[in-house]
Amino acid sequence: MKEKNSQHWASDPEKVEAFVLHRIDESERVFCTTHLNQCEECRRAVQEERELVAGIRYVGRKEMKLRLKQWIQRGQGKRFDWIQAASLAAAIILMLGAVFTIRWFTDFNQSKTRSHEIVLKSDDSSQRSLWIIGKVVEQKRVFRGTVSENSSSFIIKQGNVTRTVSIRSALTAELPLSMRTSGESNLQTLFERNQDGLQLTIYTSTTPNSVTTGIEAVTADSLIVYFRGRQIAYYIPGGWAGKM
Amino acid sequence: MQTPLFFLNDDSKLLDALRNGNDQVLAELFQKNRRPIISLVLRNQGTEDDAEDILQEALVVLWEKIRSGSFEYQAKLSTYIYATAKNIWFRRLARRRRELPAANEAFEVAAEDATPQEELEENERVTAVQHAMEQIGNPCRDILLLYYWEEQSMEEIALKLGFANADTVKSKKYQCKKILERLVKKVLGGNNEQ
Ligand SMILES: [Zn+2]
Repeated sequence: MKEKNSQHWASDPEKVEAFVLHRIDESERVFCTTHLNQCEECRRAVQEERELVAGIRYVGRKEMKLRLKQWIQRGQGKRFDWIQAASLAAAIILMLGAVFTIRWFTDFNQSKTRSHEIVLKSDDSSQRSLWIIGKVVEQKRVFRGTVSENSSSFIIKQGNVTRTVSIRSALTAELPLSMRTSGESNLQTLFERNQDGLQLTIYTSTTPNSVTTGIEAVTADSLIVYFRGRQIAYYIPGGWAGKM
Repeated sequence: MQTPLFFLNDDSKLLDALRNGNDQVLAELFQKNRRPIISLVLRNQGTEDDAEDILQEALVVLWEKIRSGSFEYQAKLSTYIYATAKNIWFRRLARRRRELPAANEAFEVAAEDATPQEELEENERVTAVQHAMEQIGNPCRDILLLYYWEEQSMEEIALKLGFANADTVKSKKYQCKKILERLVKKVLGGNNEQ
């Protein structure tokens, strides 16, 4: 009896799920399939799991198609909602893979257009960073939130997830020419993922001794920072949870 | 920094955007691929509406493949989209000839499972699962969709939905699946009592 049960692999729900989701290796798959050909009971269990997954996926696809329809209807040049803070769907992180330079020229509350995109291919795959150009929304900003002097570290909380965001500044002169931004309204910024969150390095033409910083707002795909009397908006391509 | 600079072609930009979760890029792909699909469908007994509909389904298939990491970039993106849409359209035509209800052909193409998809599509239990998903509510609905459809890891789901960690999501997912199964039984029970 015991021996028989050990063969009925589909009596283990986790196994059934792994089998249906193709998450078992080939040799095990062969074993499982061989047994299925002989066992009505296990076959039924697998079939039920498949139906469950198929049903869930139909729901997902239908929803996605609906969303796509809406985007198509809305057409291009959608407005970029900076302050829809309700859905900070994910906390800050997950900037994996290649190093990106993406220049977004974003007009506050207006449509955004991407001017050009370059990849900085790095051999070091452990490097997890993203270059984003911050748009200075306000040059002389009075900020009443939590302001941090020098330490420039902030905790962002969403649900049970807590992340630290720290901000520092560096000199534009340190950047290769091709990456420097001109004018006072675009600030090249490096977003780097580290163990407990995110490190922002904002490149400016001068670095004073003390830097006053703050976080004004975070939405699903944006960050608004208070930095030395300026309000700077960042659009995060793909949002915080985006995988790279 | 001695790193080479090079420009990405259009396809890899779009693919990157999709991998990064910038789903609205699909609308761009829709506009880019609309014309050839319309002419394909018009040549084959369909209308412009049909064409737009199957193109949308093809794009959802593409999205799903990219998300689950099973998309392999071999041909041009437009070639892939064209081939997928064509496949969907001919299935739909075949279905119409057999006078079966048209729905979700794309989703047959998407899932290359051992079980024939047609069998699943007309399956009473699959339909019941869809109804049950309407009833289940959040966070279960989101968890089940992220896990079984988008095939995201427990860690990713934890982050996205604000759970403490992967283990919390894992046990929650387990509960949600049980609830869904109960609801499915209920839906099916209701049907059988007619
Ligand atoms: Zn068995």
